Amino acid sequence: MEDPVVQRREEIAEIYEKGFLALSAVMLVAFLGALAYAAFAMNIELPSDEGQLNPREVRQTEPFSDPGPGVYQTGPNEYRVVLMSSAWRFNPAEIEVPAGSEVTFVGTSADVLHGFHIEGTRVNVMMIPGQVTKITYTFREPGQHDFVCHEYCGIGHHQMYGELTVTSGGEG
Amino acid sequence: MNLALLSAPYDEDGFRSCSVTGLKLHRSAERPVKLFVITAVVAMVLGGIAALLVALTRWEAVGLLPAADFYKWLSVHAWSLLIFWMVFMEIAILYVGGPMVLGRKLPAPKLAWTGWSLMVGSAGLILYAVWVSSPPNYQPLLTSYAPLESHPLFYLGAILFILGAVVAALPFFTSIWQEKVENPDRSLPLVTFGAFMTSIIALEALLGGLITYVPTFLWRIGALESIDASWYRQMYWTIGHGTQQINLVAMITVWYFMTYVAGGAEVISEKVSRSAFILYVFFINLGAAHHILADPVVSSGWRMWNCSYATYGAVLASLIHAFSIPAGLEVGRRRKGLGDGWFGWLKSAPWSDPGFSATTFSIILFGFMGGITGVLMGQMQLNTLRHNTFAVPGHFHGTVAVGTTLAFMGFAFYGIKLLFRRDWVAKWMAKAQPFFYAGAMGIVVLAMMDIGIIYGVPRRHPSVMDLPGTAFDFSASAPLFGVMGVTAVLAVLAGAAFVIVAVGSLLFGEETRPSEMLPDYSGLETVGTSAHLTSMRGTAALTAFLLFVLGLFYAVDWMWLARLWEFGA
Repeated sequence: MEDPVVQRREEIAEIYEKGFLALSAVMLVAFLGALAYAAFAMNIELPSDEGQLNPREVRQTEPFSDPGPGVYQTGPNEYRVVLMSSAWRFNPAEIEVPAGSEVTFVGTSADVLHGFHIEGTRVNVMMIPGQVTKITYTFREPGQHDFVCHEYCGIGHHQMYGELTVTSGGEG
Repeated sequence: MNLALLSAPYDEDGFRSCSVTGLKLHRSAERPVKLFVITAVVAMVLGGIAALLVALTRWEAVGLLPAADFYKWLSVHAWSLLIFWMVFMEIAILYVGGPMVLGRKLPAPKLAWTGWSLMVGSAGLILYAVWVSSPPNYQPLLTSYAPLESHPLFYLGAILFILGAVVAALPFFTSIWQEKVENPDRSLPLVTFGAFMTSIIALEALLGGLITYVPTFLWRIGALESIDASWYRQMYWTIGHGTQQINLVAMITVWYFMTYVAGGAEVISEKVSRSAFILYVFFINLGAAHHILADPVVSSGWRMWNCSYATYGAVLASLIHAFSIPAGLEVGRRRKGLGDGWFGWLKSAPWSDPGFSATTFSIILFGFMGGITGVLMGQMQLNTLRHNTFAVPGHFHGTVAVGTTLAFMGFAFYGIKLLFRRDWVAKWMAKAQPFFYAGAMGIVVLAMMDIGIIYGVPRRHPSVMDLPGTAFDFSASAPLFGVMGVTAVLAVLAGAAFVIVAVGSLLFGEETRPSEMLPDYSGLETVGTSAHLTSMRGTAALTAFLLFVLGLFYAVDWMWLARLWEFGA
């Protein structure tokens, strides 16, 4: 490395490289900070481990056996939706809640992988045989949302969807 | 056909030297490279036809295929392009980056042929299984998520394809081993080093693939009673995303190779570039965990470790390459007196050389499209916006369809000249092809991302415009689907132009003399130590812009998510 050109080039390269690396590192550290802040300070969490069940005995396991799939009011402005996905339908496929309700979805799959995404919301999760999925969302505005199965589940996949209606009749 | 008419360039030991790259090429390495490249192009033709059918179905104004055929052709599209086109090219890249760059014979060439036969046979088996599948055998698409049952031969084909790829990689490993035994004190050239890192990541992925597919095959033929869906998802993505990491690292290796050969680049810092490759080996496969961010079973800590902390180790590596490669080009060209000012080195670049233009578009589009969206999607909360929407295929078309595919196209353009020693036929088409393809495919990618993130349209879905019995539909996204459909057709045509030039040159191209082959930068060496000749300000400006765009979209995504999560409301 006696070549002065090479040496000079490497010195200059180092200055530029260090600058760029520092900028990149600062940025990634900021991203990490944002992630930690969102998760721990603001509680913006994703659905987590809510328990397992035997996928072949879903229909004999609570809450999918009792009270079974459906929409249940659990308090003032609070609802619980027990959601069963199977090829190729959601049960229930029609959900109606008043505006302002906090709705907790508890779901699973009776056969293969399915997905559950309520359009225009952050409810976007997987339904996996053997796993219980739980996610809560507050519907403030009256209106209609579709929910579609977004994981390929066989030849009828595109026919698997439902509709959630938020009525204006709520107390909140 | 003039395949047999080539003059015999080999010396008594079977070597010839390439006057452009200065490489010493041995017959035993050259022939398998040609075979793998040609096979990759065949896979690309099939995948391209499937692409057309798939795009014209999702563009529902055309609505070409019924649902069952859509899933079938989507499976063909995914396997032909994401797996066959890529993996055959990658084996060729291993042989170029290993034995050829090292100037060695290909050890155990029979293994190369065995691997190739196994790969071609199993690829045929997979396509056959897809073709004959009807319920209760469902189309696998790419992922074949158990317990959805696909044709048993499909799983067998996947296992054999993995074994074939491992066998085909063995001569590469042997050549590295031989090199280190004979020259223990000499470090591997950077391109060889990159190929070696690619192969390590590949082995991890392929091992994960065997752990995934062998039990799944046993379950499918009834030897195992059941298979856990969550287990399958986690294991599958070690190969499912792992193979994409191979594409990434192979593409970056090609970037270093092509900017050097076609653009006159230098490596500004061996140490830094090598460290970046090593960061990939440590971290990039952990990033595959982002596929199960929306699964209920994993904990937040697990998500954070894999998809942010570990992934950012790999992102940092990518950012290092994003700087080193253009900087190497800038310095290399400046020192040869090819351009001054901020961007003179880019303005004076050989844009009419498809090897150069394809590589450069690959670098730019990969960075701004595939790279940025990858960082955003891998963030656990931001992933909610995109999970399983059309933005997901938008992202990976930004990585593989514009990034890797363009880089491999540029590499193949040069392979025609350097390996097959053929001149390009239809030169105007060869020159225009990278512009045409990058432009059309770039718009396809933007349209897919927008459809997914703005309208929430799901991926893998043949009919979203009309959902009978509901008041809501996705028809607001129809105009963007129109944009996607038209540009997808154009992109397939541009892909066809590549195949015409590649195949046409092999069959009808004139034999080129080494001196007429490619740009020769060797006579342009200038010696100077002025800061002007070694400045990297052009690259500094471009990469600062990349970081700015990344930061901007990160902020925009959080604002978008804030609306849905209702914080600050």
